[in-house]
Amino acid sequence: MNTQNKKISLLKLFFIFFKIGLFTFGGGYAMIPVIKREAVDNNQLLTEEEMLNFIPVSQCTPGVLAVNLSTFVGKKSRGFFGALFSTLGVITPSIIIISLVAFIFDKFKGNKYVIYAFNAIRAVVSATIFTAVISLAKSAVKKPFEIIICLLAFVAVAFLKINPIIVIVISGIFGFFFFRLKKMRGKKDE
Amino acid sequence: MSKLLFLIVKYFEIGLMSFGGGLATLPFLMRLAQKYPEYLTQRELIDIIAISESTPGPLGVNAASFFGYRNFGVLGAILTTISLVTPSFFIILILFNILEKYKKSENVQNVFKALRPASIGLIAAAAFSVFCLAVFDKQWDFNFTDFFSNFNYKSLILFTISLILMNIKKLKKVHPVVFIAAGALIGILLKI
Repeated sequence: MNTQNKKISLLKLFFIFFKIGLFTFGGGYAMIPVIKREAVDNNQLLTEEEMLNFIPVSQCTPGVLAVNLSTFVGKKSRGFFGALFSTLGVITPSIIIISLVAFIFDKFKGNKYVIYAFNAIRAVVSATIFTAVISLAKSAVKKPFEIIICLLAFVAVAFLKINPIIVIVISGIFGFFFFRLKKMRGKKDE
Repeated sequence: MSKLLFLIVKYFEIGLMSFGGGLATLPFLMRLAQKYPEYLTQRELIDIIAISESTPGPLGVNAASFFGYRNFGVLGAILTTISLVTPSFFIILILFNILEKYKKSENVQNVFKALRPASIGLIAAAAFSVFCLAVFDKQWDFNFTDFFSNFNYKSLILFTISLILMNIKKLKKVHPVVFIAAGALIGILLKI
């Protein structure tokens, strides 16, 4: 089926992404297969190849991966307003659900069992974040250069309390010049 | 009103600076909670992360909604979440027509070769800071006697067991919400 000449309505686009936001736990990479099933298989908004091409690009843009993918698919199907409706669609369930949960949570937060439960949960949460770091590091922190940058960023924020924004800006600038210089020196040596 | 504007600006900043998925927003949130506890304390932030991990939707978006709701109700939830996604929304619209060129650009790749490991280092720092709060009930401090004064061995044991279980190959597919629920139960039973 051709994706270009059949226009999908903006409202439909909103609800496709509303559904995606509503039924995926975990976000990020867990959402990729769901977005693929809805956007590529069920609604032919774009081809699988177009989507596979976009995943690495959305890793190179700031923000939340699943939202970036939704913006891209929306733009691809219906231009600016498509991007707007799909982005709003994917974030709306979170706003509704979290507002409800926060409302309930605030009612019970003084309860002693809730306090015990959350004291324990904090230990478990830090384990889930460390686990995510381990699996991220396995795929993206291998070369000596990467290990050094990763460690420096860690020490700067964990022990020296430097603002993470500064770390991001400096490492971006550093990467820009470091690999340029490396390439230039490589050419000189030849 | 100016407090609401402050949160909107902060969330815009986070949306612009976090690279690599929902957890990438965490180091910025920890910083925000540390500097401005009147909006949210770090301890509350960790509770929010636990809740965001256990509800549908991307973690970064959920945490933003919670942050906004806690301070300004439903309107706050809407505005912080929209602020979070606004920078990337426009960046993607701008990049859309030059995607291939952008992705293949050597300068862009060079920047990201350094940004990715740095971003992971930042998430590790956030994990460390959550760990300190969970086990020592305070942020890291080079003053050791003070730092260790509230040491909670039960939390350390729970952390260690969770970390080991989560990294066993067979349990890799188990969703974090299962561990969080089990943790909650253990917390109530053992009064941690």
